[in-house]
Amino acid sequence: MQALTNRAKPVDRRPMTFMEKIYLPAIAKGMGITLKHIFQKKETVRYPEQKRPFSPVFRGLHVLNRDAEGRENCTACGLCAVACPAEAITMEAAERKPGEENLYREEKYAARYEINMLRCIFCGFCEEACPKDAIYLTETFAPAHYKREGFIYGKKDLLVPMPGEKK
Amino acid sequence: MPTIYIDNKAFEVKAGKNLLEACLSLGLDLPYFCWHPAMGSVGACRQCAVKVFKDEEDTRGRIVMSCMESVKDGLRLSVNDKTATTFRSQVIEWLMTNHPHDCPVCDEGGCCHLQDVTVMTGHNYRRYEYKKRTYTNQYLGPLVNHEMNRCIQCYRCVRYYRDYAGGKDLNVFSAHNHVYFGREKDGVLQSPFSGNLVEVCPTGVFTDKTLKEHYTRKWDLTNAPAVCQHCSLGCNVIAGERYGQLRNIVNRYNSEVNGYFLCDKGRFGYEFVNSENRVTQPLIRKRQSEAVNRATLMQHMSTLLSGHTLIGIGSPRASLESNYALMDLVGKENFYQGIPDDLVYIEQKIVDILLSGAIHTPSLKEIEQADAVLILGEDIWNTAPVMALAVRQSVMKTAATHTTEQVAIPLWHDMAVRELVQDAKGFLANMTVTASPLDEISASTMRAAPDDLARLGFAIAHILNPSLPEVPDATDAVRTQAMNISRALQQAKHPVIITGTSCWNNALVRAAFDIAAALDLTEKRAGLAFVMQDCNSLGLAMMRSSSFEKAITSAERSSNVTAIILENDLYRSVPAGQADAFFSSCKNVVVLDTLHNRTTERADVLIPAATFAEADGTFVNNEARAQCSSQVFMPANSEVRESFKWLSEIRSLKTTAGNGHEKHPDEILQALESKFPQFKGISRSAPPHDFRFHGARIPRESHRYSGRTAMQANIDVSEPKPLQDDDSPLSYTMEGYRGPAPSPLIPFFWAPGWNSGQSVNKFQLETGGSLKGGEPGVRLAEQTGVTPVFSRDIPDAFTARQDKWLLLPQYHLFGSGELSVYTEGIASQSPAPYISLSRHDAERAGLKEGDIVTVKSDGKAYSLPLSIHGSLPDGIMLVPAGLRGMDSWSWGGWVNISTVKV
Amino acid sequence: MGRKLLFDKAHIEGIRYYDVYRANGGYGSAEKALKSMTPEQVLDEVKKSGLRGRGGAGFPTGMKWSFIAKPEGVPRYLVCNADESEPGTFKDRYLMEFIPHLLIEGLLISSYTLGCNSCYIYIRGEYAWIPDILEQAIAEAKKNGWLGKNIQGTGFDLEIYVQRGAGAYICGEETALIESLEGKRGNPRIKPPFPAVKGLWDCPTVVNNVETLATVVPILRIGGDEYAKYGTGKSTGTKLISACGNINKPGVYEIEMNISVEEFIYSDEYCGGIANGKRLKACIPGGSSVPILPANLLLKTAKGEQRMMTYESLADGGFATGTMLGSGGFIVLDEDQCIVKNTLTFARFYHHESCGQCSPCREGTGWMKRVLHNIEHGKGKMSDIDLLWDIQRKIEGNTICPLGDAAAWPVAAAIRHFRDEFEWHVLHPDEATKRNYGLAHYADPLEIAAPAAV
Repeated sequence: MQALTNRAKPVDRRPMTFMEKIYLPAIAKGMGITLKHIFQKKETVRYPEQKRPFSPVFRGLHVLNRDAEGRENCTACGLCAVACPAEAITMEAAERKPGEENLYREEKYAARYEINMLRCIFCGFCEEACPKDAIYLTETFAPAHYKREGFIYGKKDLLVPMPGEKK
Repeated sequence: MPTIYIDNKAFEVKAGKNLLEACLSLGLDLPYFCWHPAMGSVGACRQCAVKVFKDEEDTRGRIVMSCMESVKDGLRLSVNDKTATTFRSQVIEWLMTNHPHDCPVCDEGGCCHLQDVTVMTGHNYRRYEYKKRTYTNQYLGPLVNHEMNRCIQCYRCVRYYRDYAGGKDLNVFSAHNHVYFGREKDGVLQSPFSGNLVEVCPTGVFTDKTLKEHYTRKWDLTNAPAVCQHCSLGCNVIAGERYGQLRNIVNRYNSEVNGYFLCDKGRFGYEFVNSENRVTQPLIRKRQSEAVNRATLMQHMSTLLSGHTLIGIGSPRASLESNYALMDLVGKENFYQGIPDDLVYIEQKIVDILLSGAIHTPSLKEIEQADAVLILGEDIWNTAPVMALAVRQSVMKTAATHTTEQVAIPLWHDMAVRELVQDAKGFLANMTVTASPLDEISASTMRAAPDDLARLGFAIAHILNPSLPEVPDATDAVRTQAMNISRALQQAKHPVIITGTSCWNNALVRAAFDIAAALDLTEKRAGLAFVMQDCNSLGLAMMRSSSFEKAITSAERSSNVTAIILENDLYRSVPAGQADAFFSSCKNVVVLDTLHNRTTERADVLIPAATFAEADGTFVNNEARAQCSSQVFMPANSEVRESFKWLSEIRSLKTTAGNGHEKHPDEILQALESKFPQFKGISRSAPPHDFRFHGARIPRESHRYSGRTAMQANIDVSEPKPLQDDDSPLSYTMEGYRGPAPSPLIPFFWAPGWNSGQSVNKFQLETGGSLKGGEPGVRLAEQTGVTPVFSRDIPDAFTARQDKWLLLPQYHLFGSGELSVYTEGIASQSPAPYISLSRHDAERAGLKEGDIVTVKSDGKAYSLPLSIHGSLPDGIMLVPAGLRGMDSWSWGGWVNISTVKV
Repeated sequence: MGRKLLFDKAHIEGIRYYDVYRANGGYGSAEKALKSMTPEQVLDEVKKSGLRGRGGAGFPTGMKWSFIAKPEGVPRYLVCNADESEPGTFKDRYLMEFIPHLLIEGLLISSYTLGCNSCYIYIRGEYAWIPDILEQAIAEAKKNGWLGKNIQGTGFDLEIYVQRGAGAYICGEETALIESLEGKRGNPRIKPPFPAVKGLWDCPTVVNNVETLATVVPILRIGGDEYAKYGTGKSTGTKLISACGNINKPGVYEIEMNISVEEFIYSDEYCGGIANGKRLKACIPGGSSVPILPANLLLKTAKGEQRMMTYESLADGGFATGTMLGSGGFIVLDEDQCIVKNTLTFARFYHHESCGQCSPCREGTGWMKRVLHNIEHGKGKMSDIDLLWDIQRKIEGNTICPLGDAAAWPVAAAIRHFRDEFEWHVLHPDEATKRNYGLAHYADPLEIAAPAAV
């Protein structure tokens, strides 16, 4: 079979020489590389104390928006779910009842809204599909959890806090 | 066949159609709103404009509405002509000027004809920049929601509601672009066919209120082809599920059965599947912990089976598979029908007639096309509503056909035909015990006791076939009426006689047969249609088992009886006294059922059965058409299983021959077929469980189904393996064969660009015609040309007795159904129990409306308020049948009033 | 003085009442028809007269009558269309109000010709007082044996019923009128079947305008041939014109169809010229739905010929440079009138009167109204004019009944002939709310293409 790249390198199978057997030159060579890097510019940052700047088009965790009066924008139309290539969004719609006009902007709202962040590929299609400006991808990314259940984001995790309310 | 040229391509099309129908039948996409295959054209929406050219040279052409132009040989038209396409998109622009564009909150979004047509025409830029007009919505009852702002004024709703279904309380008000479709004031829609507005409306003005309670987009539903469970007609439906709940029912087109429309009971009566009253856990009563698991249950069952006499009680609402599995378990001789002797006798008569091959039994479509209809005794408005709708079409269409024979106007030209027809009607004779809404379109009506109705029937038969005996002592009025009816039937080419079991009178069945057979001899194709009581009454009756009374005798004779009752609330099926007697003579009672009821209360062992939505099953409808109803979803609770699965497993305990292999429903049908020749062909009613398209199954879910990895994530993060359905070629996934499925397996109607139910035209051979590949179901009884054997046994005239009344059931469309009343909106329209007497009888007995009357039936006393019935003949007592919590009475018996409390 | 056939006795005091009417030769034609002529002979006279329907469409009446189906044992109906709701038209009102017996006599003769024994006058709801006048006249006629059973001993029976409409313009359309008369919603029917075959109560029906039916009286009096000598060409006889607008003498005039438009506007016998010494800007010669014409095109055709008050001459040039005689609602606009405002008024009317059945008219008229409202109130855009043109073009010819056309034509003609006035409105919104565009060039003589050199 032909190599797929031109980087294939035949392995040298000759028995090691004495110099090679004592390893010292190789150790010194290796230490040399290490020492060289001590004085070079560091590639990593000290997260979380230090954070890298995001690209302006970075897509992070989702939020569900509210309008200026603090009402939920989402009407549970299901377009984000149908647009989601990872099939990671699901919701159940409910009808707004009289007296709830201050909670929900339109006559329907999401009684349940869940995103499986383990499946989400942060493509942002949900944001594109949303006709109500309800779902946005923010600049934060998913925090770590000890259990996988923590990555199932429900409405309480997604909904932006009411003005004045602490999350 | 005429040839027309569409965009310079020649096509052969059917004569007598209009251009729109021709284009749609050819598979072309042509948008429309006001036209409906069942209602014809009025040319109001102007959406289906095409360009028609005079001849090959004509390049200018003229815009016409394709729904208003007849197909003519050599006609040249263009669908894609620029003027035509811009005009069509202009029409959409007009219609959209006031549409609220609230698709995200609209229930119709995703299955909306307006959305489809808007995309189809290519209109996308809005030039109208003014305020939209708004309306106030109305409360139209618990089943249908009203949102007038979405209206595009296609007039389909009023045309359907008033012209097609005969409703009166929905109309169009006001003028210009402020026309309003609604009622005169808020209130419940009166027509029992109002639910079809949901599908007739091309957008979201009328929507399903029950769906709203647990709303799901069409694309998110798991669908399967099912058969309606609420009456014997076996209307085809599509049931949709999500999150383990049945979410809605829509019509599944079947040109020979329900066509485009369902009744409200069928459409909305599905909530029992989601009821909290469901049996969810196997129970063994009189134990410390009654809820048991499957292993314990099976252990217990094996002790119940050994050394006990088994008695199986079948059910007219359980599938054939389940009934047969029970029969297989208990043995044919120990299997009983679970309905009273009288009813078994009548049903046996019907089965004998149908299987004899002496007469043709019409499908609903044939009833629609009949040119004279005689209803003998059956209150079809309440017991078979879609048949009443079909009878109404027969009456209307006959008149229209007469008219169009005189004037050269095609039948689809709805408005012109209506102008010509005015109040003319085809022949309908409605001979029933009490008044019915069908009376207003009847040429002849009669209110009489069942025996008298049967005598009228025999009198008609005698006129049609003088070799039949004359009715002794017939009054002149009866003679004249019989003469008139027989004359109308003789003039008809396709007369249909309808009768049924709701009068509990076998003479009616015999009389109806005599009339139909006598007509059939005279070189015309007469039909005889029967209405049964439950969705599988005929299937059960065709198994020819004994009645419940025989089961009691048998139980009383033997000791140590274990009775297995299959999906049958005996207190509703047989008089309560008989049920009590039966239970007291059984040592162990095993009940398989879906919902808790009074029979399950008497069970020693209760086994949770699957409803129609969770089960595969075959049901035989009133015309002996065996139809397969597929499983819509697998219950999350694995203890809820199809009865036949439970019964097969129990049987394997008994024979110890079980190999752990579950029998597929089609295998059960094959066994049934080999045991009972009358079911020959039934296994062809649906493709077998291993049917595949190049190895692919047919997906129950649309390709847009969403949330697959998130739906169950709150329960278990690991995405579960898709459910495996071994019993049918349908799969629980989005993947699979997307092409045309065999008609019994069409899980939902969808075609590219056609997301709404209107997409059905892509599944039909021609618009309004049959489905490609033939209609689902297999008819088990066909006319074979056998010489009919007439009945000559004429009952005596009915005479009212002193202080005794003939007890007859009054069925109520909303209320009499055991399962449908679990839907709140249907229960709220159910009447309260009452006892009904004629005015004359009530006066004679000194009773007033509302008096509490106590009546003894079958050893039990019932006290109910009196309701005086204007059209009831004397000597008859009517009691509503099957209302929630009411016992079954001994219908057809005689009762007296014991006490009266004012 | 032009010759008069309908109004020849209109000046007589008390002509509204039977005695005066009879004394002045009234019911003479009816007597002649009923007693000495067969229905076929009467029909022949009407055919010979060349009488054309006066309701607007100008369809030959004799031909219309001959279409009526005559099945055995089915009654036939004559319906008099008195639903005169076209803005600018009020000629029938005058006829019914002042000479009701002329109409009754006309109905009697026509019913006799058509073989109808019941006749309906469907009168517009807004003419609240006229039904009383008609009822009174009917009662008088009945008392004197001209209605009821066995009229004048001839064996012919006739009853006339007056039915008031509820004020819908669309009910002037003959099939909508029939629906309304039957007590239904006044939506136009799709033809066929035509009313002459299946009309009122599913029976053969003829629907005619008031003036048409009244004209039958003089035709019988002087004979069809004689009548045909009045007027010019195919426009025979006389025509009632209801003139209104900026003229010195608004009113209903009977003209013989051989005078010119110029004569009609300026002669003292008729309109008496433009009021207040202003100049003529435009005119709508046949009721609101016919195309408006600027002064230059009104007085002379595009070919440079004198424009006459006849069906043919007014229609000369088609819609590009001509108009229609229509129902005879002659509306004159002087130089102070704003065409945009005038068009808006009409658009508002047609929007309000659309029945709501078919989409183009239901939605299109409302849209046009709003666009025009914006232009008129200084909120218009240049693209609005094209939008208006686009909307009207898609309405025209694409609706179930002619109301769509009637709504589209005024807008089309206004833009066709007065586009610069519309543009001025858009470009000078502030000025346009304060003053009018004025006469501009609309009265300038047209350039007539020189005949090609031979």
